[in-house]
Amino acid sequence: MDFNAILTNALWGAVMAGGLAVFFTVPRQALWIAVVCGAAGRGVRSAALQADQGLLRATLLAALVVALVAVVVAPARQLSPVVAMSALIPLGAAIDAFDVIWAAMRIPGTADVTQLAALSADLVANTITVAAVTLAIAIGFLVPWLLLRFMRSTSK
Amino acid sequence: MTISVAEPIIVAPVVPVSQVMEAAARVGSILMQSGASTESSVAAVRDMLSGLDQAGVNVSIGGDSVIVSASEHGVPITMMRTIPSLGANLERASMAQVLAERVRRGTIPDEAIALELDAVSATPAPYNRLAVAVALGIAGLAFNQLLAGTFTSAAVVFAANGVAHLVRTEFVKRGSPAAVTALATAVIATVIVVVGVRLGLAPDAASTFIPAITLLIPGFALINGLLDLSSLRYVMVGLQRILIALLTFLVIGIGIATGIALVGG
Repeated sequence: MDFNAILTNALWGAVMAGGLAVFFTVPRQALWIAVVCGAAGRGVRSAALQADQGLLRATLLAALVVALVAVVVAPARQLSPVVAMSALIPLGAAIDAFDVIWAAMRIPGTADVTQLAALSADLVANTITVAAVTLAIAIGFLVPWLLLRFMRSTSK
Repeated sequence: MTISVAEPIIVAPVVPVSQVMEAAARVGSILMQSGASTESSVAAVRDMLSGLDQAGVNVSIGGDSVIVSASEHGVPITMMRTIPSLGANLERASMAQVLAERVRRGTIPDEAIALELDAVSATPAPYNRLAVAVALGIAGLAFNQLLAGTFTSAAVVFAANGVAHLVRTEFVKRGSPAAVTALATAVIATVIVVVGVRLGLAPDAASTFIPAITLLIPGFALINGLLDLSSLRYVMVGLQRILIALLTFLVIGIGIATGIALVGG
């Protein structure tokens, strides 16, 4: 396992999540939670990808870790785990999303049938990847949150 | 002869059902506007209602409104709060969810709830637009590094994201439609990236283009939309959110094409 690559991924993931946290108006006292979650998310995703877990499982695992950190850390500071949501954006299938836009842009100007078929296939495949990865992120973030709610309701 | 006087019985004033409904609907509306999923918004509304002993009140959240209905003294009441837009303000979302949790636990006096909700609604943005532009630039720079970009291409992405954000806030301030704002932002980001590539600052166009453009994609709309759809309870809200994201994809595509055409291929 390439630990250097995992650490580099975690570092830049943390910086990206921190920047996005400011954009999404995360309160100042919670910025560090977004940064830690960003590092954990990208780090875990990178490690899982290196362990041949595949993009979907790696993303699901990373989103679970982000949500677990948020669910443990945020409520203790009178914050909602929602403040960690900016750490989910670096887990998205950005390259595939860009490819969707790129293919959609090129289709109207393509006359050649073979090229058109290849572009359409690209568009469909990348759209499915974006949807599947986004769903993995959504489910990964939802499960610990639902567990937290279940624990709260049983402790009342 | 002594007369014993019984201890006075102090009865806490009962909050009228209509006030409870109003407070719950406001929490739901704030959460939906601030980027929370429909599932968590409904959960927060139910927390409020259970904390105020009104668990029988019905809650329904649609794409553009929160509807709460119940009956008071046998008279049916329905209250609606509109959701002006589905944005992202995680500070307000966090404050509203924490408030709902406090109400559920009963750690906040009933009469203070409306004031607390006013405070949540009036919370100013914690960062000024320049700070947000720099932060977005840094986020793009980090994304560029994740894609193994060079430091000069990272500088191009920083500039593209920062300037694009400043342009976006200017359009939002003037009340431009969301599609026009997204189009202008995509055009500006594309022009800066293409100029950077032309000047030889970004040898790898992909690692420059992708971070500059994908940060414009409404990620929360996609995540929340898919969550709503997968719950099978909020299908219409989910579809609305996904449709907004897809239309934004399309507008960004048009923006890229326009930007490339403007700078000459």
